Amino acid sequence: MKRFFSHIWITAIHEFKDSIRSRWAISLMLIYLAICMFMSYQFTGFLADAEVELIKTMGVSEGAKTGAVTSRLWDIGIAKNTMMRTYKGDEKLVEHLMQAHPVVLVFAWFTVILGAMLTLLMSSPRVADELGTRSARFVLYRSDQLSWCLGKYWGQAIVLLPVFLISAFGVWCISAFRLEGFERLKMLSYLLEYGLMSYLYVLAWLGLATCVSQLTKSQFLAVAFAIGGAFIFAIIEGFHEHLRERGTDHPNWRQLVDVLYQFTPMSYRGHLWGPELSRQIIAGLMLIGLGHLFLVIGYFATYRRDI
Amino acid sequence: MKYALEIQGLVKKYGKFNALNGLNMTIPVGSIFGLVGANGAGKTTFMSICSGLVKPTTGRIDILERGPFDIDVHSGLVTILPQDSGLPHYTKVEAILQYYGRLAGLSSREALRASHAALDAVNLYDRRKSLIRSLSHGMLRRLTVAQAFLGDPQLIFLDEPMSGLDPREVYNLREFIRSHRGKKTIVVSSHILSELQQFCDHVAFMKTGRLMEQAPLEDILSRGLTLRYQLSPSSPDPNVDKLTQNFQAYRIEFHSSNRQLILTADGAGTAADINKMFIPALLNTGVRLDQVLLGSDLETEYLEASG
Repeated sequence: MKRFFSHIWITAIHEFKDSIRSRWAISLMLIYLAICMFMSYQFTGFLADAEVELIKTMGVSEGAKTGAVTSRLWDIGIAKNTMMRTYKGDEKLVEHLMQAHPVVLVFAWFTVILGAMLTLLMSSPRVADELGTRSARFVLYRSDQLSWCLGKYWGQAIVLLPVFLISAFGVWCISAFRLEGFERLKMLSYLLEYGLMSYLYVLAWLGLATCVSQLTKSQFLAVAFAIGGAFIFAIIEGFHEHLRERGTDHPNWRQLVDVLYQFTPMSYRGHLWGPELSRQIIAGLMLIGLGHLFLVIGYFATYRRDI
Repeated sequence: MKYALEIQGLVKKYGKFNALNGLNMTIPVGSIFGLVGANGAGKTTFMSICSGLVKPTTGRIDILERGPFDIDVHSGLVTILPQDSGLPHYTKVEAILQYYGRLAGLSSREALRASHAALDAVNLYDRRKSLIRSLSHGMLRRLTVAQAFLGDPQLIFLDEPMSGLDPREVYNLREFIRSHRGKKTIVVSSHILSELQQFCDHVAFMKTGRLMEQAPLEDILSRGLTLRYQLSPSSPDPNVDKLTQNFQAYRIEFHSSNRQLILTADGAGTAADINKMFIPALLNTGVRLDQVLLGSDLETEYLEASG
């Protein structure tokens, strides 16, 4: 057992260093950071314009500076209605989210989507590539496949953590520069907190990436499988939303979709953003557990295969 | 321990194709064991099974008297230089060996020391900080040889270690392998039989997944009295039919690949007696003779055994 965990650690550290040296990972991370910065730049611009319009049309405090009346945007109800629809039945969560600054919410929203895509693109080729080039043959007579894959998983997880924290910091810099009424310290802690939550969220996607990566020896096919997996999750989520809003005459269908939904990372997103720490911790653990479940499924599908 | 490896009735099926067809083999401890066979004879499959990379279909394997390959038991004790396997391009030479060393159970410091020793042995020490992708084909081959000697392995499989090496490196590697005689058990497969003959002490001939013959090299080369007449490259081919007619007591064959005429005498008579009669007759056929060698060679014996 000691050897098992030691191999995970050794491989994780090696994988981290290897990913940093790999141009593919660095390129994807830079693209991700650039998109985050661009999105926050555009959004803060939109927010400033919207506030000016709000001041003009609703006659709200003309002397107020940009960013100081953002809460008024929330008061008009559109955002609240959207959230109520998305998180139907979870009043506490909606109230909690309504207290956050829109910049934070938008950041949280696009980092979970963009972060999941980044993770799938960056991590799904990692095992497949080594199986394809057969460099795995130098490793897998010294270490077993499960500890090697777990090491790869945690190595990638170490790579991803600074990406989410740096992107949160980047968004904070742009917002602090563009929005005058921005409460800097409070917002920094909010953004870092949501950055960390997004990170926990993508750990489940990382498990999916490592799972599909074991199924093929082609890195391109691995990426295709990963995107296919994400598509299946999106369909399940869509069905789940549909059945929750419209209901169905077939309770068995509803139960099946509910169970399947529990195996998608999306089902824990709301809990992660919730007001209670205990729910956040449980959601975080469930997402990590889900990531490992996907990884182990990939392992059991392939462990008898010749290397 | 008498044998480093004992194999009985080893079978490996790929669909309907049998790569190994009831292979039996014993490899003495401390020997340098040459595996000879045509492409598809099963040498690579045999080595891959013994190092845990390929799962056997049936058969009994006992490695270092500790049963079939088990990563918990044999990691660090059994190593392999797999055929046609690449190394990760973006890793540094020293870092990859250190990683493999750590997986083999060495501490960080021991792994660094072992990697330096292995790189020194294959003349790559000065490239230890280079990225693997910057190495030439020959250097890559030497690096893969180095990884097989990391730490203190007891049983080493080298699949075609000489391929892609320049003459100087072939010489160095041969001397390096020879220096481990009696200390480690080394199994080498190669198509360059003259090379194997220079450092192996045991040889096995394989054909279509079966063992044809296995014996100490000395025994194989000293069967009967064999004389090899090396013709010069520009010499015309000898008239074997005429020579056979005149010397019916001997078996005479011409190998055009190495331009050698082989004479085998199973009965009485010394080499000097035979040469006294045979060389004038040979020269009379118009051939140009470079030298006469006493004893058989591995190539002759392999061709003889494989029909």
